Amino acid sequence: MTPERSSFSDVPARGFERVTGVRSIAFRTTARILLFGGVVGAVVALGSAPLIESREHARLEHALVEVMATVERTARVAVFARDETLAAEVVTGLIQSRSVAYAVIEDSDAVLAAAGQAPDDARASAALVRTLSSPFDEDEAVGRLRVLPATAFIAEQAAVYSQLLAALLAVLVVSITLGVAWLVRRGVTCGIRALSDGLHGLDVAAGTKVEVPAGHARDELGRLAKDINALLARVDDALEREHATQALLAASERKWRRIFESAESGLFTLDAEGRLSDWNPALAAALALPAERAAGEGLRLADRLLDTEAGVERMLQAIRAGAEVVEADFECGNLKGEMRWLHIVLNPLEGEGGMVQGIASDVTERKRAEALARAQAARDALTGLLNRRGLEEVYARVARHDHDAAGLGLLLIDLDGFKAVNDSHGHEAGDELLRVVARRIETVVRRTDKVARVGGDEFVVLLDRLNSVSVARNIAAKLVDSLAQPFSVRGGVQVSIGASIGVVHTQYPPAQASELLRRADAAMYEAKKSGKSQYRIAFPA
Amino acid sequence: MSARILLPAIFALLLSTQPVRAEVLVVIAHPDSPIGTLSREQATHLFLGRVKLLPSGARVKVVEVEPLRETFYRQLVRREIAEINAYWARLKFSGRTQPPHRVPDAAAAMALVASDPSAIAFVEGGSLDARARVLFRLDP
Repeated sequence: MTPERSSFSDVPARGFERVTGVRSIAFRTTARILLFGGVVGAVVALGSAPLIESREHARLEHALVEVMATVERTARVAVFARDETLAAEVVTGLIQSRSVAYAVIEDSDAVLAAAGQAPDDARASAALVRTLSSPFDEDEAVGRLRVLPATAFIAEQAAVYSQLLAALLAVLVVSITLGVAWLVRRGVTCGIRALSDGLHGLDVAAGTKVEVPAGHARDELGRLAKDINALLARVDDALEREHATQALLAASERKWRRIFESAESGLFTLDAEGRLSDWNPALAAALALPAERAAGEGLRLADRLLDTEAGVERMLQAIRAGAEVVEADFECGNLKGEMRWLHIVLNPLEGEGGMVQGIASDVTERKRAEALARAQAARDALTGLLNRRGLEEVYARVARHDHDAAGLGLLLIDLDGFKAVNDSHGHEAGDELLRVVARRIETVVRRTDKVARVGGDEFVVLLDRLNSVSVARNIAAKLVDSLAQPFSVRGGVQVSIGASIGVVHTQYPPAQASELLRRADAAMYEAKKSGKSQYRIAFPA
Repeated sequence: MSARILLPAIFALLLSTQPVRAEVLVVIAHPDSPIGTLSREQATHLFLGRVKLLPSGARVKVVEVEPLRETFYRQLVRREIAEINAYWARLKFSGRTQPPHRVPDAAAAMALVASDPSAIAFVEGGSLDARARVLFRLDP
């Protein structure tokens, strides 16, 4: 028995594509770190730009003040001596610095020298001013040195500095990001991918295992791989046990199904209301169930049987009342249209919500044998007429009938001269004579009348539904006449006998059979005494 | 002039000026000079080239007496002679402002002042005679 192989790879490939590109952890993590770093870097760069610019501005201004200090002594000399040439030399020197837009040296009442582009009045206020005192008297102010910073240049310098800083930040962010991404990929993603690929291509039933990703033997990934392997081993065991159990169950089920399908008895289950829920072919044939199983489902068992006296319902009631086994015989029509007898046994299915299981056996042969035996027991073997016991059964049945006005008649016939025939022609001739007599009686009486041989040469005719005694008298007269005719027995031997008949007539409900017979016997004896071959009517009781 | 002769001469001079040093330096001019008197500031402006012309527009010829320069400038502006020389070195570079005319001794200064009404000079009080008028006394 080979258990079915199964693998995770059997799952439709759509759900298990290899994770690559934008969905990989490395990619997503890198992208997120880049995004985060980019945003932070941009915010820092943008936020720091004004600060850097103002710092740069202050720095350049400070540098300018220092430059002014270095030329101060010469400027003081120039302005003290009112020497325009030396003053021009100083301001021209200052102008060489790109951070200076305009420089001027003036004494108390006139400009001594100026260089650069003269500013408009608005910008003139931004100038740095240094008071120049006499070289010989610090307290004597002799002029001023005014320098206008080149703001455009300073701004440009600040921007350059700011951009440099931003570029450095960008390089830093990218480097850190790539480093983190590489570490994530190497440290986490590759291990997970190795594990995922191993798991994906795994043949569970083959008992293969996931490989521990290289370099992860002692960390969480390694533990994960070992746990997966342990889990796989358990799954493997469970699968094997499950397969074995299923195989056993399947074999058992097939066995029982074969028995069920091929049984000659009808096997079935009923629900609590007596409807068929499952059955085998034998029952379908016996009950002429529809060929299509679905059409048969829900049919009531009682409807498929000649269940005139609610026998099925009584059986179900008995089971509901706690009976373990109930059984009864029912007649039904099979698939061939024949009437058959089924012996049905029902017993409850434990714990199935009132379900009942049943067996239906064909007992037609037994029933027929019984019926035959019963019929034979009631017949006279020689003549085929009813015997005394048969007569009593018929009488009992007839007496039960609830007839309205009709009465009942009984004729007791005793043959005259039979003993003589028996003595002279032998028993066989006597037996043959009795058979012929029987046929002759049957031809005389009405079809509904019952004829019985109750003694050696004694016959009884039971006249059912007898409206008046005259009919009985009529029949008795015909019988006397008929039986007085000669008989031909044993190869043409002619014999003559006669019959004495006692007639009883009674209303319903009739008396006991023995009482009627006793009265009829008395009447017959009267007839014999009066000269035989005649009938007498018994007096009403 | 060789240093062998000059050095003993300077040495002798330093020794000989010992009593002279105590004397007050005065700024002098021709008796007919348009300048009346001078304040210390005005004297400073004239000798250090800040003022080159008189209010009348006439040029002033400023004369220094070589041996008295150190004392004069120390007393006038409280500067060492090296500083004064550096000052003039800066101005000489431009060529616009000329340093004072320099004479070797007081006698030469007196003679120059006596001969040029636009000249001013400084001498020791003891060297003064009728040929010059005092414009400003430098009190030590």
